[in-house]
Amino acid sequence: MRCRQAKVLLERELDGRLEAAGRQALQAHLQQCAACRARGAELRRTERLLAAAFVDHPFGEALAARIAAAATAGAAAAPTASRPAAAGPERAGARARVLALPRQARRWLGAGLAAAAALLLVVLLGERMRPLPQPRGGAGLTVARLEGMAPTAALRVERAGGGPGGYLPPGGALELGAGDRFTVESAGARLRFADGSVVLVRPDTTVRIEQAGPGRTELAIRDGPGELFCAVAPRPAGSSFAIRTPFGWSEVAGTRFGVRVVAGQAVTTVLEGQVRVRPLAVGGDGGVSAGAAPPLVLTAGEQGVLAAGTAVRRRLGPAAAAAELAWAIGPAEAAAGSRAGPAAAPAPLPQPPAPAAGEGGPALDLPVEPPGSEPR
Amino acid sequence: MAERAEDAELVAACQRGDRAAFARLVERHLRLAGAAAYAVLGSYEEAADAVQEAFLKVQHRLGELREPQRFRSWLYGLVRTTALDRRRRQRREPAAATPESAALERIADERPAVPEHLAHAELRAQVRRAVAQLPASYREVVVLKYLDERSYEEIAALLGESISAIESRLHRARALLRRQLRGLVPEREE
Repeated sequence: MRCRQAKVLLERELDGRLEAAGRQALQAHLQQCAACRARGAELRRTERLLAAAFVDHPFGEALAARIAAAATAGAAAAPTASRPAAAGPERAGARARVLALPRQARRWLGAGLAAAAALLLVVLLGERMRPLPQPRGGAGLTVARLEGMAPTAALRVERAGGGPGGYLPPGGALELGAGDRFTVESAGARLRFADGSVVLVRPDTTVRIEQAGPGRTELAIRDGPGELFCAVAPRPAGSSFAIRTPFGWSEVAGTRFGVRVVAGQAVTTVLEGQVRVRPLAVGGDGGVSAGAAPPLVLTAGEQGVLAAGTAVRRRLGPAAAAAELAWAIGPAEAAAGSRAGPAAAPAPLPQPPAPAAGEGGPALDLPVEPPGSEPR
Repeated sequence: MAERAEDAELVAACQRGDRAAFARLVERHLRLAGAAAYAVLGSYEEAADAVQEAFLKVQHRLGELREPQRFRSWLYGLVRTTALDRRRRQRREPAAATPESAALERIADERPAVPEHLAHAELRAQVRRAVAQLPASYREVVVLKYLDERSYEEIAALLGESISAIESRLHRARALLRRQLRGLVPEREE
């Protein structure tokens, strides 16, 4: 047998497609040919690498659940075909205009024409504040209501499945469902859930509603750094609330906690109750935590740092935890160390909005998880 | 074929509005859909988003499927098109590094003290990067074989090509990968 023939047989053997006669002939050749033995060894090494390369793929149960949630929301919403056909080109045109202007503006600014800069600003603001085409209607489709924390808030929304998105009008609110994503560009945003849970989102944070079923609500910060604060109402048995980051999950039953994603890590700070933080293996962003360190259950005053497949506990104490979350709970509570009794009202920072009619009083009034209960 | 008949039954049930049947279809074909999207996009996160988008299209377009027993091929084409559209959009609006690549850069910065399980994760990512460098037609076969664990026969049927064509493509892909991955695993392991 020649080496060229042996090469083909080696690959067939690797695939389990080599019949007995071929295998014997190959073995006879390998006993005499060191080069082919080396090639065979290298082939097997490559094969092992390839066989292991995708073991952490994300195309499993978590994604199936996400698709089911999105499909349920989508089935109840208007079919894709009935969306206004003009929405796409119109959006594309607006984007092109914004992208084209800075080049001209640079030239004009170079010539000292300040008026051109003013024009640029107006056009950009015009695009920024273009209202969303249609709020989603119908009870039962949505899980949360998104609103700005100040009239100046700029909140960009992208709908699930590529539906029409845009900027929330100043002072407006929008019902969001599974698969929707929003970016807080300035002034902060508040997400209110039907069960009374509230999530405050800081500027420069993109949040996606991953799951919104009766059994699980999952929000994700996975498009860069960001920070949010959750005041989660106690949930029925078997139901969970989770924040997903590129480094893992922070899961609760009913509590108050903050999650901050910075370069290379996600920091979870617990103000009340318990939070379970579950790291994600590196390169496994997509619902598979195999290969990562085991989860930690954090209690009030503790911080969990998820980074590169590991979870590390830090004991901050109530005062330091409250100080860490001062942006969300307000300076008074932060100074007091932590909330003394149930149903106190954290101030909606960073920029408190004017209270809406009928809303009255400070923003949040949430029941507290009984001490000692386990997160689900 | 039993698998095709079962697909046809599930498609018919979906068309009658049976949500459980849709969930079953998703479950049966999720990994194949993932492989189709990953072969185009080369990123788990992007591929997962593309798969979700494609299944939402499936939900609305199942009525257009004339041969329900050919659901698998139809889905494969739909996912692939969806992923290609996404890639076109990405090229128009180039994004920052993916979380996966960012995580890997961090690991590179943080050496030494990388735990063993992380080293493995990094190794897997390196192999996936090498796969991403392959020509598209090789990459597709490699991803179907190693991510979706399809046989030569299944890959050939799915892509409408002969088994020998698939075999030859895979052999060439392996030859390229062997050169690229040389040195990733010490020879003493043999």
